[in-house]
Amino acid sequence: MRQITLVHFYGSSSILTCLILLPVIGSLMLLLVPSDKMRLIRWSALMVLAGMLAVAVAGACLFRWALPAPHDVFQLQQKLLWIPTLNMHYFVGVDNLSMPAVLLVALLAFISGVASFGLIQESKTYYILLILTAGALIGAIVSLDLLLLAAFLQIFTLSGYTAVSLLGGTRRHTAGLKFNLFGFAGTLALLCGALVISHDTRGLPGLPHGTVDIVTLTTHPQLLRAAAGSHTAEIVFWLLLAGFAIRLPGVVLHLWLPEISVESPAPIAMLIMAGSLVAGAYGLLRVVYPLFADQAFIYRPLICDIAVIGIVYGGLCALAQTDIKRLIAYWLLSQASYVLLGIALLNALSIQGAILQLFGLAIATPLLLWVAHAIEQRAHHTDLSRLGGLATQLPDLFRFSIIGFFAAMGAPGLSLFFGQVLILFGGFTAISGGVAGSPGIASWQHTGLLVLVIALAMAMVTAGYILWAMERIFMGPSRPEFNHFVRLSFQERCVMLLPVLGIIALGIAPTIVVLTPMRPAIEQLLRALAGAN
Amino acid sequence: MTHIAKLLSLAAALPLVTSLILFAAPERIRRIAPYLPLLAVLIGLALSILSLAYQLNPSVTSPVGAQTVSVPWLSPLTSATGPHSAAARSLEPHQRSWRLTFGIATDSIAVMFFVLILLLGVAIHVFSMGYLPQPRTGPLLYSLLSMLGFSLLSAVISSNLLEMIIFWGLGALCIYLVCEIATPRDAARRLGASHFLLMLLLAGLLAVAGCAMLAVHGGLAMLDMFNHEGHRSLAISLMQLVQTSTPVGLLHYHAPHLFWGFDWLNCSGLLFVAAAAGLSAQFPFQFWPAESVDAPAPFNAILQGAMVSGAGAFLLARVYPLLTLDVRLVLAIIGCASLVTGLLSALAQSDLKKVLCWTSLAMSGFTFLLFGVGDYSAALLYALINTVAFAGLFLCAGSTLNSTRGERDLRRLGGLARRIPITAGLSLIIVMVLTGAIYIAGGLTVPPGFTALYDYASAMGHYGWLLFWLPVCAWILLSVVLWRWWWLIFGGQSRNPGTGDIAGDSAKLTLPLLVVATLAVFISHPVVEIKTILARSAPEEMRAPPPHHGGHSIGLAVLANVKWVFVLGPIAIISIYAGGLALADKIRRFPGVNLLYMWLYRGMFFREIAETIIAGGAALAARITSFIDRLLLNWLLMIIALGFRSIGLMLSTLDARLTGPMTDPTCMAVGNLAPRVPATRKDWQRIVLVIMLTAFILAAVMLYAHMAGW
Repeated sequence: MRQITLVHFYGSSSILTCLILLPVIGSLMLLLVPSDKMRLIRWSALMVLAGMLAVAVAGACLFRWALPAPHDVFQLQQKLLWIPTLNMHYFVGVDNLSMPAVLLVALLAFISGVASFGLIQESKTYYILLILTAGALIGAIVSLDLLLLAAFLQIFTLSGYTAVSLLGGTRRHTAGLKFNLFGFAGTLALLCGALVISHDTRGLPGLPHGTVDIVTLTTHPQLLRAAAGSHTAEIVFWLLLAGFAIRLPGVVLHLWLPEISVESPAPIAMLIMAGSLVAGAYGLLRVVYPLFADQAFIYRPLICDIAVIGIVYGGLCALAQTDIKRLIAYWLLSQASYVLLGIALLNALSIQGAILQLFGLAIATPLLLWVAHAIEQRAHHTDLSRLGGLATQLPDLFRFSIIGFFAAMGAPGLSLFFGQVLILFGGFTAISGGVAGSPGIASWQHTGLLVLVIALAMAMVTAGYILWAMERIFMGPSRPEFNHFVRLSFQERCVMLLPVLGIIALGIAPTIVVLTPMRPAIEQLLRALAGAN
Repeated sequence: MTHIAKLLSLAAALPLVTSLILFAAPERIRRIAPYLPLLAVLIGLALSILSLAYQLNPSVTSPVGAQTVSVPWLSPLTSATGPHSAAARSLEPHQRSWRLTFGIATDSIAVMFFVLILLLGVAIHVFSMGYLPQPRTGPLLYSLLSMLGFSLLSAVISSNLLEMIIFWGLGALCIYLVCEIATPRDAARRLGASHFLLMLLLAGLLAVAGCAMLAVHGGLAMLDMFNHEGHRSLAISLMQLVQTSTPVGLLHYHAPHLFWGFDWLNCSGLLFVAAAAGLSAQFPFQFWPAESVDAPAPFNAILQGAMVSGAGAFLLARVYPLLTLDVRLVLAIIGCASLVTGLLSALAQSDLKKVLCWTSLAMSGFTFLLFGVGDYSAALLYALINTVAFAGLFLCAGSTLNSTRGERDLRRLGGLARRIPITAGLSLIIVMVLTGAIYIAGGLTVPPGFTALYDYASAMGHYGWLLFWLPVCAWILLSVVLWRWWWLIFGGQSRNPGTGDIAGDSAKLTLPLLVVATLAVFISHPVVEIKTILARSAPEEMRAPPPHHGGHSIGLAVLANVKWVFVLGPIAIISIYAGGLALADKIRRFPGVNLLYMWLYRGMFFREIAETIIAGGAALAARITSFIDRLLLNWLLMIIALGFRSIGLMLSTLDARLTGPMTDPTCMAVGNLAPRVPATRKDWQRIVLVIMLTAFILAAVMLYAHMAGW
């Protein structure tokens, strides 16, 4: 008989569990509603998503943002032994890194919910899958057990796959299957890595059954060093890196992305693409780099090179696209590679740049996808060569799009600017460290400079293709066949307004919005990296 | 916060508020949309004039490098403290925190440019109201114009480099959008606007890279001189830069080598120079201004005035203490090359606006040259005069186009002084200001900057003399180019068959012109001592030109007589166009010469053979320069873009084999909203199968791990 033992139950706050259970309960309740009562289903689903956002905000209010002690950074914890044979715990908690991420994902889910109103795919199944996807994503972010995190990511993959395969476009089966295959491969990599860690830590003082507890492993890095031989550690490092890089996505592991962008219903694509990015980058920052800082230092040049290949590959592929949605997908690949570069540089500035870039991307991607969707709703296609002159026919859409496209270019004052600036500054600092004799980078000095120059040059290419796309859509002579286009509805404006406000807030006050709330977590991450170095 | 800072911040905030209001406003308020920003600019102007009065008052004058506000904007961590702090130091050698502060500079250069922008803003705004067709002038356009005003105002009062770059970037985006929205739509115009924006973004990136390099490497030793607040600035604090006690010492600063034999100070300096060259369309980036001529005249005025003439020079003025002697030499060479090639290209143009475009970038080159040779205050004076004068000339061009219904070909214009006498008179005044006929020569003394050029050239010796002789020749050429431009539009007889359609002067257009022309004369007047006021923004030792090292007698004679150059231009042009027409007519009746005339006429677009003979080699050189410019720069850019796109296409084709077709065939046929195939039982079966398979594999892995004792 499975024995479920209560190991720890810190405090009385079970708000994170509520946050995870709410979508499950909401989905079950939606199942009970008759399928023909679409209005009730729609509003119930939105209430569930709004409830998730409200609970996340309540959690943020309960969360003590400025907690000085380094060992109690994880708050609102709950821990239960779930599967003893695998030493798997239900262990959730948040720190200054995951709390903003939870808020972001809850906001994205709410935006997706609002965006779903009136969609052609709108159905009971659709809303259930949307809620489950959002819930799984939040579950992955609050998980403090590596196996639990992998489990939530797999639920996210499966619910996303089901949504795309059932409700997507004409090539939905291929798109869904690719997403599932890549996601599953990522989960397997995480699972194998977690099992090896669990095995190797078994028998260490105080850990008779081993552990995959992220808090224990992070706060006692000597455990992993004592447990895993360098060869095993390298394998686990690459397994975990690949597992999260699939979500980011990194280059070569991105093959699911363009089809999800094209074939998914827009709100699902918004949630999957932005949410997957957040989960991937969060995994790198929470698990891979703090736990395997030694390996991260050893492989820093290689990972930076991979990131730059992603930047170049994504940028050049985006340049060649004639479909807006595919262009957005490759743009995301290129920009997500900047996130990977910022983290891989292992520099204080670049890591903070990567975090800013991550938040900027997560908020800009839904806006761009929604712009593409709004065009698709009216023109019945997203082919750039058959668009043009929409600035005069759809002035409202043009106003919102200006912000989105300029943010995508990395324009100053908008969400991606400071992220890229800090990554660049961090890169120069890393090279300067090489000059000063910092270990592990001296031999990388000239190549590192080349990497930075390429990253800088690709920022120009990004500006070029985004500008080109914007001109192809909005500028040029007005087309008479678009004269009948209806203006943006109230619902469409609402969907665009929230990301626009986020983009401007991140561009104007990045310190207040992101860096200051995250400061303790960043400090802890830097401590972990510094300890390794 | 001082009174000046309060006034300036309020004046800069007004356009921002107006812009936001208009951005959110419905299209219904189209009628009142132009007046709201005008009101904001006028109030801002009044406030800025008050602050200028404060600035001019000796008792309250801000000291060099005055900065009155310092609000933390971006403050990322550098490294952690704690148990691993020793290791943290090796991860990040600098222990102080980084910070980017938002500050307001209130030195004389900031206030002067601030007032200038607002004055030009009022003029251009009123001009736009009379010039732009009403259907195009929606609230969005005026919202963007207000945002542009805010960006430019904020850029000139920025107290650190990154802050300045951010605001220039925002301004560039606004100009791009304004040009796109308010311009007739065709491919050529779009190309020009895109090139402009990409160029400015490149300039911004270069400046950011320079900033990063300087902040990171400079932090090791040199920037400690500038940091009094105990933190490392993410951007160079411009104010602290000029407040340091030994700015001239930087010229000989021994910086550690960075890579490939370069040291970081030179590298960052070169990046700043490249950024400034990009902003001001200097050699080798001078391809974009001539492509933006299809934009409406008021926006050309902003583009040429604010960006080409002002932005690059302003950036150089701010980073001037960081430029080493080597970098200044590069700057002088770039300026000289732009000056000569720009004027030669201007001479070859037959388009009303293109002549002005090339001339403005050439004169901006003269500013660069003066910065390079070390005459800081003269360079700033020319930057100010160029900003006003070229904005004025473009407005004159707009007024002319308004009268001639858009005719831009100089060969088809002429004799317009009788039809639009006010425009002709005001443009004549501005031409005279630019060529040194009015006041700029300081009452027939050597024009500012030439003495510094001579000193620099004599100190350099050998090829260094080119940096004196070429500007002198260019100064003559400038006079010829601008007088040719004026004469072909306003002088002589009309060459336009549709003369009857020409409208007279419009009050809405000539009133702003009057303001700008008056401002141009005012600035260039030696009594006003703008040069002295501008020089206050830098320490004494920084703005002093290098010492005189002697020279040779011909050079000194030329230097003494360069003040008369302004006379040569009108004489040459009047002799060509007044007497030359009849002479040319007589000469071309000879059989052999006729053929030569036809060849020259067709090949070089010169109507009069006399002009060709006099212009001679200059015309040929101009054609060659234009050709090279088009071939190497414009085409090169296009080839690079095509190359990138081809590689992208290749990669995408490979990628599409794995990710699906680049464009969905169904999308091409009926659109993505083709009737959606509802989920069938088969779909559900497939999904359940996949989920079960996934669960099975996961379970198998877990089971294996359990059995293997993991």
